[in-house]
Amino acid sequence: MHILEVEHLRSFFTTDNGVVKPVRDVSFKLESGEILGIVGESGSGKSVTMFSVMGLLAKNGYVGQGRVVFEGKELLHIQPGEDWVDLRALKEQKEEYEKKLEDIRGKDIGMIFQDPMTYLNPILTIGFQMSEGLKRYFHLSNEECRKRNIEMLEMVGITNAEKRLSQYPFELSGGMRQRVMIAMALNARPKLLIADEPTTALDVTIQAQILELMQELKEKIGMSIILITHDLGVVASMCTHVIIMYGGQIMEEGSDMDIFYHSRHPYTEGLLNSVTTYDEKTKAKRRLEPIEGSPPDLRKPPIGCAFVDRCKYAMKLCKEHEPPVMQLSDTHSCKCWLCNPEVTALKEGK
Amino acid sequence: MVKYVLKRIVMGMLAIFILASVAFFMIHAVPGGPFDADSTEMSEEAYRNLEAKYGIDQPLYKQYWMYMTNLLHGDFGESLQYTGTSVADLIGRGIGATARLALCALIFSVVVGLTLGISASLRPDSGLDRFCTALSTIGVSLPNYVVAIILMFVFALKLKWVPVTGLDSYKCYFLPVIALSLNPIAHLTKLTKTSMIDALNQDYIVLAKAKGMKKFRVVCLHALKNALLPVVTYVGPLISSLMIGSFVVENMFTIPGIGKMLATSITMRDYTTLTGMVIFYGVTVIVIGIIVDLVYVLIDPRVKYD
Ligand SMILES: Nc1ncnc2c1ncn2[C@@H]1O[C@H](COP(=O)(O)OP(=O)(O)O)[C@@H](O)[C@H]1O
Ligand code: SF4
Ligand SMILES: [Mg+2]
Repeated sequence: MHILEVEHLRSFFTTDNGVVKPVRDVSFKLESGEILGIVGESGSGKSVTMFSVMGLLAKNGYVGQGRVVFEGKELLHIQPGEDWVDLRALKEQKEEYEKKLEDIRGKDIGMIFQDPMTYLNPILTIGFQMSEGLKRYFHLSNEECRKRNIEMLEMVGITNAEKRLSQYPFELSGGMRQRVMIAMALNARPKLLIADEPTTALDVTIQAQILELMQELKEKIGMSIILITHDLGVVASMCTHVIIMYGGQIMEEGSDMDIFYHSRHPYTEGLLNSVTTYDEKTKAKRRLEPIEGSPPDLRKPPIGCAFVDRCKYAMKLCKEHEPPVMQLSDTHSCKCWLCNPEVTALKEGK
Repeated sequence: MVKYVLKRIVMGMLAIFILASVAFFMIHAVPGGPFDADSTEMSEEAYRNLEAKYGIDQPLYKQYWMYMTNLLHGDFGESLQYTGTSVADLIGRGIGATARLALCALIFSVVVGLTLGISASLRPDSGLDRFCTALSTIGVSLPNYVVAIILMFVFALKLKWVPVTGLDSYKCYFLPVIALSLNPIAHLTKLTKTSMIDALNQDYIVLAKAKGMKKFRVVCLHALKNALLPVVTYVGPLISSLMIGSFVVENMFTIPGIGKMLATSITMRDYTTLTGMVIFYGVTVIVIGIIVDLVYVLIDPRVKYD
């Protein structure tokens, strides 16, 4: 069964410099109990995609089109409008969606954010912030909350848990705050956990510990996970389903095998080639061949393929026409003209 | 923390000592004595007697010494204007009316200002938001005597809903309280709106929502508590200024508060009352300053004093 289905999602932000379109027709399905990795350089729209699904977009952000189904229940369905500018209607739909999600967020879907420094409320204690969800959804007493919080903090590797509960975020280090945030999201044992670069701020040992904990909980309570990261190493060790995102679109999608051994998209190839490796001899981190250039301007995304400006195989066709998504197998799909047999035939004929 | 408060109290006492001294000498530097106005009808001897009674014939340093020693015992001296009444009694008589008005005006302006500010922050560019902007602009620029005159004219003289002057029934409070509150409401509305908009845009609001907190709790707990700091900074001095009493409002509505008393003591050259009141104001400002600092710590744990 699919726990989450997202179809044809488009989101945009209105800004003083025009409309930014960080999510452009994104569709994916998440099998119950699986770990989906979403990979891509920063600015490719990974966070905005998940914020859209969670109804957490900033004030100037709107879902312009799309359908979201959680556990078989349709939560959002916005038909493509004439254009994207009927803001009043979209605003109403946004509010309605946020209201609907009030009873799902935190209980059925938990979320961990990227930046540990700004996401905790600076003037409320850790204990207070951890207990809020437990009180709302499980009606636990103060004492029960305290026990559960201590247990959870210890699970994410925080020492002196008892003392931490009465401390404020500013008294904790960045890594510790990140772990508090993780503990907070896992506290309610959600069915789906959306983790937006949860371990970027942590050192390698703790990162491993957290990932292990997430996997353990996944087994124990059957949690599904969406893991956003730009660390392909983490994806390789955790995920069975991988999405490669670029310029607000899904470039390639497949099983871990498809992506790591049979990748077909030039962008995926670029990502795999740029993986940071750890040199055993020199103990130095080594970055192989980073992809040259930078992601497209999402105010005026390219008409054709989003990756065209940086692709070493780019053809005239790529500039003028957006490549369709080619289904390569049951699990594997790729949005590149090179995967189109007619195009390859033409190319070879030349 | 305790050490900080003690330090603040000592500093405050020092400030009041300086204030008392400055007030004493400044007032005595003004030419003319308290009994000048009546001197034509007074014999030279009676005049001397009066001066001797109140110690005004003594050299200045002696008067100062006497004044300060009495002050240490909490004795502000006797009013020169109302013979036989101590300054402390006089202030005590006026403070009731002023404090009641101040409390009403404070509660009224905080409740209205916060409510308007929060509502406006939730619905930018709505009708309510525009109303708040207009109210802030007008409220900040209208002096309170103009407000008082308009209110008096419309509600007391024309509509006759409330009495024109005095403070005898609860009805008497409406007009002076509104006149005193309009300016604070204007400031508080604007301040609350700005700091709420800022707080609502913070990442911790996103986390609170992601945890499943209902909108009301997100706004009234997570955002408001953070937005309250600048508001408290404004409310502290507001309390002091309300406690000092408004010359204008108390005079216009003939309210026997200490604002009116101060005005009279200046025109009557009532030195002792005047110095007493200046010191009373000083103490009020300092005490409220310390309380505001403590409230800060309660709201924001990051505030640390040493
Ligand atoms: N509130 C906002 N207003 C305007 N643009 C935004 C806003 N939030 C995000 N964006 C833009 O959306 C794009 C995608 O961002 P994001 O989803 O955070 O990328 P990432 O893949 O690194 O998570 C970025 O170009 C960013 O500038
Ligand atoms: S469609 Fe063309 S430009 Fe885009 S990735 Fe494929 S080859 Fe490169
Ligand atoms: Mg991101």
